[in-house]
Amino acid sequence: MTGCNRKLRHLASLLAVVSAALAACETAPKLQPAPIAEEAPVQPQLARERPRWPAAVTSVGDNGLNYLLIQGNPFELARVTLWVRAGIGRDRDSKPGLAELSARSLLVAARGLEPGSTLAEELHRLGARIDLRFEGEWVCFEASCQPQDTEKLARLLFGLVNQDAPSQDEIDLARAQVLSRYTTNFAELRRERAIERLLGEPGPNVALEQEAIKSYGSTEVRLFVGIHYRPNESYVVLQTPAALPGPEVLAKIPTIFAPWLKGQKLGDLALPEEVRPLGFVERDGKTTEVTAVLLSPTPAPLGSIAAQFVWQLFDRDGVAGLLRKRLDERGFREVMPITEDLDTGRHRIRTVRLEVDSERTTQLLDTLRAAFADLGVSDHGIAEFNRAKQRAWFLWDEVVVDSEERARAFARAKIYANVTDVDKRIQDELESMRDRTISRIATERFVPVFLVRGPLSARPRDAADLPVPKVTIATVLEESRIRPILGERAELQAIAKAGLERAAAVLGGRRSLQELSTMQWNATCEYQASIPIEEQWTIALPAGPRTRTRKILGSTVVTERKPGETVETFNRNRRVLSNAERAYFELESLTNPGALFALWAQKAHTLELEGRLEESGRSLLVYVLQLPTTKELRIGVDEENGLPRRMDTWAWRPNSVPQRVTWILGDYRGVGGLRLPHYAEKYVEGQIRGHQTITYPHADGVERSK
Amino acid sequence: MATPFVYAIAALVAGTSAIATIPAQAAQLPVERFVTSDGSVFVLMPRPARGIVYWAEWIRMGRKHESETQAGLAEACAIASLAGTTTHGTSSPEAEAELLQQLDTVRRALRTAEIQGRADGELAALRAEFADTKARCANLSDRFAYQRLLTSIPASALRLTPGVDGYLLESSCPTDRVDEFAVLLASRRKDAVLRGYHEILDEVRARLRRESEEPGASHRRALALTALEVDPLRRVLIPPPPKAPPIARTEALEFYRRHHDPSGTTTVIVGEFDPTRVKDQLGKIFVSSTAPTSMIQNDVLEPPQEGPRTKVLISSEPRLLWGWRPPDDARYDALEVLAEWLQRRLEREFVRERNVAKSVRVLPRFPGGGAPAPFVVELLANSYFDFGKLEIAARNTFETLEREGAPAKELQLEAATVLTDVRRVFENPRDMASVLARAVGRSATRSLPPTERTLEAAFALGKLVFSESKRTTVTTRPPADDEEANR
Repeated sequence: MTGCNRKLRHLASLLAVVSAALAACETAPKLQPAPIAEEAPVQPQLARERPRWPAAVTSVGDNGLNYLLIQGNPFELARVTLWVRAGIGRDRDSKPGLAELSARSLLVAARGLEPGSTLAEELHRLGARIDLRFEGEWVCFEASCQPQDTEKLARLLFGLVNQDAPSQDEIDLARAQVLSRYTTNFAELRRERAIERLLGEPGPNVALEQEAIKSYGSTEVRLFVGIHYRPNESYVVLQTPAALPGPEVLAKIPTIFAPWLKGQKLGDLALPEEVRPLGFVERDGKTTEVTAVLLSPTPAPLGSIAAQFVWQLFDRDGVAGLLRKRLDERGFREVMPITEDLDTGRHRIRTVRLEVDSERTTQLLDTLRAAFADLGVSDHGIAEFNRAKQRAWFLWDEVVVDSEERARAFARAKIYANVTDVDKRIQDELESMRDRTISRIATERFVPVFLVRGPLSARPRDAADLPVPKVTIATVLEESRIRPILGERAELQAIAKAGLERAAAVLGGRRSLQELSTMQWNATCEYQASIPIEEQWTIALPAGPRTRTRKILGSTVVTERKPGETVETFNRNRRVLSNAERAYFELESLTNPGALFALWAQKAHTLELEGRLEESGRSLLVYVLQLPTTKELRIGVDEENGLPRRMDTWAWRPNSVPQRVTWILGDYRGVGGLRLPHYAEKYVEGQIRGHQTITYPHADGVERSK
Repeated sequence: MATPFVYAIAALVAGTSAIATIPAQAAQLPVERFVTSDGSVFVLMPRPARGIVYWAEWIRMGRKHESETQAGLAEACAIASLAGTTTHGTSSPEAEAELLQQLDTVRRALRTAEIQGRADGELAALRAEFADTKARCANLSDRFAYQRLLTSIPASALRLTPGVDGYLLESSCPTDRVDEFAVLLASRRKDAVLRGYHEILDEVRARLRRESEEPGASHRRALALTALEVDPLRRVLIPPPPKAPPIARTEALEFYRRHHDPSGTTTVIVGEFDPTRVKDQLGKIFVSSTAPTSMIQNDVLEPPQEGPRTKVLISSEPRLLWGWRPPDDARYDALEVLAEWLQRRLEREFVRERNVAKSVRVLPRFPGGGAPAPFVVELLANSYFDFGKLEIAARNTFETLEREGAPAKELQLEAATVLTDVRRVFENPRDMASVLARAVGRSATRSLPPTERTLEAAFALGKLVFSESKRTTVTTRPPADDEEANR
C-alpha cells in the first residue's frame, strides 16, 4: 500500500511538472521548482536521522532534450550542465581525439550574447565559468554563475551547441589547447592509454592521438558536431537555490533550447572487446608499479551503491578490508595501496596502484589476485558488514553535500539508469543489502586486470607487452624564413660555389665523394606514434639500386628501387610502388648529406643556392635539389664551418595536404675518411616528431670505386 | 546568504570574537570562535550537511620554520605523524621508543661507515643489524592502525596539504562521532612517534630537489633572493643538497612538538552539528592543566626597499620575472583582484594580440610568502628572438600602470568573477572549512570575498604596486651571449 502511494505521489508530481510545462509554452515544456523531497527517507536501521534533501524533477522537450532540475537551499550558485553524447567514447578508431578537438573548438568559436562579443568575454562579464569534462561517451559543459544570471548562462550554452561550424583558425586554436594539455599531462595520459588497451578499448596511445589531431580540419569537426550535438542525445541539468532564479526564469529555459533541431539517434559505436588480464610496460627504476583496474565500481554510476559497498569490504582507504589483510599476511605491511577513479574512453573505472621492489612483482600479483578471490568466498562477519555499510552510506552523504558531485551523480543516475530520486534509491538499496549479493556483485562488476610497469626483469611471464612509444612533445622548431641574398649574379654564383666547396671539403673532400661507389647506413628511428623502427639503407652511386630494409616489430619490409620500378617486399607479398610513393622514396634516400653531396660531386644532381636562413644563432646557406618528379629537397649548410645542418622536404599522405618535414643534423663524426652525421631530429610542420640515431656498418663506412 | 558570512569571516580573521564584532545583520549567524583551555583555536560554523562535519586544521609548521639544515623536516614530520601515536598502533610504546632510538643510532653508524668507505664485511654487518632492528620495530607497531581507527568511525582519509608557512589537515566524519574523531586528532598532536620518518624525509627532500629543477624555479629563486634581504622565504627556495645529513629523530620530535603547540593551531569545523554540544566536547578533549602559552612568533621584519633591483640569469629559457614589494598594509583580497585583472590583460595583449609571449602568470603574492613577499609577474617569451620585444613591451605596460593605475571599470568585472568563486566556496562545506582554516590561521593563500572596499583598495594599489622603486627584475640572457661576452 505504501509503495502504491509512493508511486501515485511520484506520478502526480511528474504530471504537475509536465502540465505546467505545457501551459507555459506551446513548443517547449516548462520546469517547475522541485518540491522539497517527495518522501521522507525511511531508515530505521541507521542510527542517525537525516534531514530531507531535495529530489530531482525531470522533463523532456519536444526536440527530445532531457531536463533535470535539482533545487535546494544548500546551493549558492546556479549550475547549468549540458551533457552531450559526444565524448571521447564516441571517437571512431580512425579518428582519435576528434571528440575532444570538436568540443574545444566549439568553446573557442562560441559567441557572447552581445554582438561582436566572445563567449570568454561574456562569461567574464557575468563572473561565470564553463568547464569541460569528458566521461566515457559523454561530454559535459559544466557552467556555473550567480543565480540571477541563470537565463543568460543557458542562452550562452545554447549558442555554444547551436552555432555554425568552427572556422579553421578557431580549430587551430583549440588544437593548440589540446596539444598543450597533452604536453602537461603526458606521463599520466600515457598510463591511462595503456589501461585502455588492457580493457580492450580502442583507445590509441596519446602520441598517435596527438598526431591525428594535427591533421583534422573543419570538415571533420563539422561532421562530428553535426552528427553528435543533437538535443535528443543530450541532457540539461539545472541546479539552483530554492528561491532564485525563480519559477518564471526556469520556465524560460526549455524555450531557449527549443530551436535546437533534433538529429538522428546515435547507434552503439563499438562491439565489446576482449579484456587482457595482464599487461606490461617497461619503466626505468628499481621498483615496479602494479595497477589493478576494475570496471565500474564507482559510486552510483547506475544509481546503485552496491559496488561501492562491496568496494568497502575489499579496500577502505588502503588501511582496512580484504586487500589490507592479504597484504599484511604476505609481508607487504609497508605497502600502501592508492585508489584512483578514472574515465577512459568507454568506462568509468577504479584503479588501485601499489609500488614494490621489482623482485617481488609476481608475489604482489598473486596477493592481489587472492584478495579479489576472497570477495567471492569469504564470510565477512556482521561487524565488518556493518562497517562497510556505514562507510558506503557516509561516502554517499558526502557526494550529496558536495554540490558539484551531487549534480553529476544525479545526472549519471538519470542517464544510465533512468533513476530520478537516486538518493532514495540508494538508501533503500543499502537497507536491503544482504550477504549473498556480495559474490554476485564481485563477479559481475569487479573484473580485475593488472598493468605492471617496471624494469624488464620484473616482467611477469604471462604478461602481454603494451608497446608505448617514447616521445618528446614540447620541442618546437624555431620558425625561420629563407631570405633571398641580394647581389650581382656573378657574386651569387661565387657565394654558392664557395658554400658547396666548403661543405664538400668538410665532409671529406670532393675527391672522396666522387670516389664513393656505395653508401650504407643504419638508422634507429624513434618517432612519436610509432614503436622503434630499424632502417638499413644501401645506395649504389651514382644511379644504381637503392634499398631500404625496415625492421618493425620483428617483421622486415624491403623497399628496392630497380630500373623501371620500385618494389616493396613484405614476407611473400610484393607490391610495386606508385609514382608518388616512388618519388617520396627517392627523397628519403637522399636525406643523408653524405649521399646527397656524393651525387652532387659525381655530377648526378645540381644544387642551386636559394637564400640564407638564420636559425638558432647559425647562418645557413640554403640550396635546392630539384628532382625530375617535381619533388624538391632543401639543404642548409652552415656558412661558418660548412657542415650541412638542416634538410627540408615534404611528406605526403593519401587524402591530406603535404606536410613539411625538417631534419636537423648533428653529431658529425669521422667514418672511413668522410665526416657524417650520427644523429638527426625529425620535425613535421615545425613540431618535433622524433629522432634517428645513425650508424655506418662497415669499419670505413663507405665503399669506394677502384 | 553569502553576505552575512562575509562580515562574520572578516571578524574572525581579524582575530576577534565573531559574535562581539560583526554587524547586527550577521550577528544571528551561528559562527563562533573560541579558545579551549590548552590554547587551541576553534571556529564553529553549523550548516545543513546531512549529518556530516568537515574538519580543517591549520598548523603553523612549514618550511619557513625550518633552519638551514632542516630542509623538508616540517613536511616529513607532518606525514609521519599520520602513522600512529604512542597510544595508537603500538603494543609497547616504551619498547618501541627504545628500538626507534636504536634504529637511529644504527642508521647513523651505517651512514658514517658508507661515507668512510669501510670494509664490505663491516658494512654488511651494519646493514643486517639495521634490517633486524627495523623488523623488530615493525613487529611492535602497526603503521596503519591510527588511520584504520579513523576509517572505522567512519571518517574520510586525512588529507594533508603542506605549505611554506604551515600545513592543512582535512577530513570529515559523521556528527554523532565527532568526539571520537577529535580524540584521535588530539592524540596525533600530543603523542607523536613519527614512524617511518627517515624514509619520508628522504622522499620529501628528493621531491624538493626535483621541483627546484622545474622550468622557472631558478628564476623564482633569483627573484626571492634579490627582492628579499632577511625573509626566510629566501632560504626555503634553495633545495636541500643531495648529501644533506639526516636529522635525528629526537630533533624531529622536538621540532614537531614545538610547532604543535595548541596556540599555533586553528581548527575550523563546518557542517551539521549542535555548536553548544560540540564546544562542550572539544573543551573536554583539548584541555590542559596549565595556562595556555602563546607561541613565539618568528615573523621577520624586512627592511624597506629603496630602489629597483635587477638580476640577470644565464639560461636557455627566455623567461622574465618582475616582482614588486607591495605596501606592508596591502589587502590580500585587493592584490588578488589586481592579479586576476592583470593576468587577463597581459594574456590578451602579449599572448593573443602581439604574440610576443608564450605564457603569462601573475601571482598576488610570491608562493607561500608572508607580508613582504612580492607581487609577481612571470613572462615567458616565444624565443630569444622575441625576448627584447617582450622586455620593452612589459616595461612600457608597467610604466603606464605606475602612472595611471588600473582602470576601475575593468577591476569591477574581476570582482564579479572572484565573487562567484567565493560563493562556490560557501556552497561546499569542505572548501569552506579549509579556506577558513587558512584565513583564520593567518595564511594568506585565499582571499576573503571582495567587497566595495576591496575594489577601492585594488584601485589604490593599482598605482602603488607598480612603483619602480619597489621593483625587482629577473631577466635572462642566452648562454651564447655569455660566451661571447667572455671572449
